[in-house]
Amino acid sequence: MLSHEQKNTLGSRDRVALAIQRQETDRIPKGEICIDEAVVKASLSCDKVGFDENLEFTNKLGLDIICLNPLYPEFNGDLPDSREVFWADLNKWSDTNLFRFVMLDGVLGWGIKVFGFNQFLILSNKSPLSFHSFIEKVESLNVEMVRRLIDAGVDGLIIADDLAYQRGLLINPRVMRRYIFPSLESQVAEMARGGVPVFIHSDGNINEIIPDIIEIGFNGLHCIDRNSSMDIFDLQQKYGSKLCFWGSLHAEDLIKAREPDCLQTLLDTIFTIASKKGFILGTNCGLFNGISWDGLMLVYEKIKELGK
Amino acid sequence: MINGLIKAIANLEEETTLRLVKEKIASGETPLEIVEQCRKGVEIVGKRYNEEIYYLSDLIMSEEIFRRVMEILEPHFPKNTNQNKYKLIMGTIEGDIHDLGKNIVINLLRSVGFEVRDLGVDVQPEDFVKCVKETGASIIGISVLLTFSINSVKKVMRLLEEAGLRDNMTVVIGGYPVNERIREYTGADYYETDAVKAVELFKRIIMEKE
Repeated sequence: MLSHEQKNTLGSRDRVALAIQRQETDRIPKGEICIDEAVVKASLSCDKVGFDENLEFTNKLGLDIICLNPLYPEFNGDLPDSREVFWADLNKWSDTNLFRFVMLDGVLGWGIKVFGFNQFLILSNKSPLSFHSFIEKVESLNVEMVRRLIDAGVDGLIIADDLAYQRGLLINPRVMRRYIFPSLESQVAEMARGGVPVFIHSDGNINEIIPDIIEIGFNGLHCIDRNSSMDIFDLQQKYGSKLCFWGSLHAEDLIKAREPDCLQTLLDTIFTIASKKGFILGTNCGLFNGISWDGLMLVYEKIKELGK
Repeated sequence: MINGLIKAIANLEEETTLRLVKEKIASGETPLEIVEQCRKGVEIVGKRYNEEIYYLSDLIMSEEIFRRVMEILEPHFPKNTNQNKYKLIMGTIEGDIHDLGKNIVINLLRSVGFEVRDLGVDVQPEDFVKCVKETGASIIGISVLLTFSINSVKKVMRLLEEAGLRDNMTVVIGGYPVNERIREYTGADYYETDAVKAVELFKRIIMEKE
C-alpha cells in the first residue's frame, strides 16, 4: 500500500515500473506505443518534430512512457546489421522522468518483410530448415540490439510482432511452439539478465497463446483489442497475477469520447480496469495520423481532473 | 469416401498432392476431374479453418498447393476452359497501408475460386477505376482501416459514376472502422468487418449478378 506521502509523488518511471510489477500506483500510468509525427505536428501546430516537440506533446498528454521505435537502414531485402539500427534521441530521453520503452521487431514482422506475407506464413511447411534458420537470424539481431540497449540503460523492451489477426493466430500454435517460442524465450532471457522488463505487442486474438507468453517470461502484453475477442476483464481475471496489461483504448472510443455520456461510460470502464493492479492505459494502436487524439486528450484530462 | 488426392490437399501434403496429380494425368483422368477433386480438398481446408482447426497459414498453404497443381495441369487444359472465374478487384485505399485484413479476404476468396486482382495498399481511387476498365471486373473490394481515408473511398464511387461504370459495379468496403453509416456516406453497396462473412457476401453478390 502506498503511504500518504507517496500518493501523487511518484515519478512516471516509478509509476510504470510499479504497474509492471503489478503493484499499487498513485495514478493510472499512461503510455502510447507509437506517436505519429503528423499527430504531434497537428497538436502543437508546428512544422518539424524533434525531441523537444515530442517531449512537449508527451507532457501535454500527461504520458508516463516514451516508446522508441527502431530506425533501420534502407531495406535491402534482408535483415539489417544490428550496428546500423538506431533509436532517435535514446540518450536524451534518459534525462527525462519518462519510462523508456524500446521496441524490437519480431520474427513474423521481419519474415513478412523479407519473404512476403504468403511465402513466410507457409515457410514452416515448405522449408522447416529455412524457417528455423531465419528465426535464428532474427534472434541474433535482437539479442545484439538488446545488449546495446541494456548498456544504454533503457527501462523496458517490447517485442512487437503481429502474431494474430481479428479471428485468431496467423500460424498454427504447434509451429509457434516448436520454432518461434523457443527463440522468444532466449531473447526474453537475455533481456531479463539485464534486469529489464519485457512486453510483447501483438494485434489480434492471441487468447490461445497467453499461457505460452507467460511461460516464455514476458512481463506484459500490449494491445487488448476487444474487437479481436481480447476481453480485458477476462484477461485480468485469468492472468492478472502474472501479466501487466497495456492498452484497451480503441480508436472508436476516442471518437465517442467527445459525447459526455460516452465519455463517462468510458471513464467508468477505465476505472474498473485500473482498480486491478498491473494496468497501463493507452490506445491499442498508438497515435497514428487520423486518430482522434483530441478525444484521447479529453479522456486523459478528465482522468487527471478526477485525480486518478 | 474421399480419395487420396482430396485427402492429401485437405491434410496440406504438398509433395503427395503433386505426385498424385501427375499419376492421375498419366492414368488418363481429365484436368477438370482432377481440379474438381482438388477443389473438394480445398473446401475441406476451408471447413477446417471455419471450425478453427486450421489457421490462416494453413489456408494459404492450401492455396499454394492448388497453385502448383494448376501449374502442372495448365498444359493439359483445353484452351479457354478456365475462364469462368469471378473477377474481383481488391485494394487498400490511399493513405492506408494496412493489408492484413485485405490479404486474408483475398486468400479466402481465391481458395473458393475467385480470381482476385490485388492492387496492394495505398491505392489511388483512379487506379481502382483504371483496373475496372482493364479487367472488366464488376466487383470491387476496398479495405480501409484509417477513418481519414474514408473520403478516398467516396472518391472511388464518384470516379466510377463519372466513368459510367457505377451501374454494373458492386462495391464492398471492409475493415475495422466501417459500419452502415460509413457505407451510406461513401455510397458503397455493402460493408463487412469479418473476413469469413465477407467471403459469403461476395458469393451472394455473384449469385445475384448471375
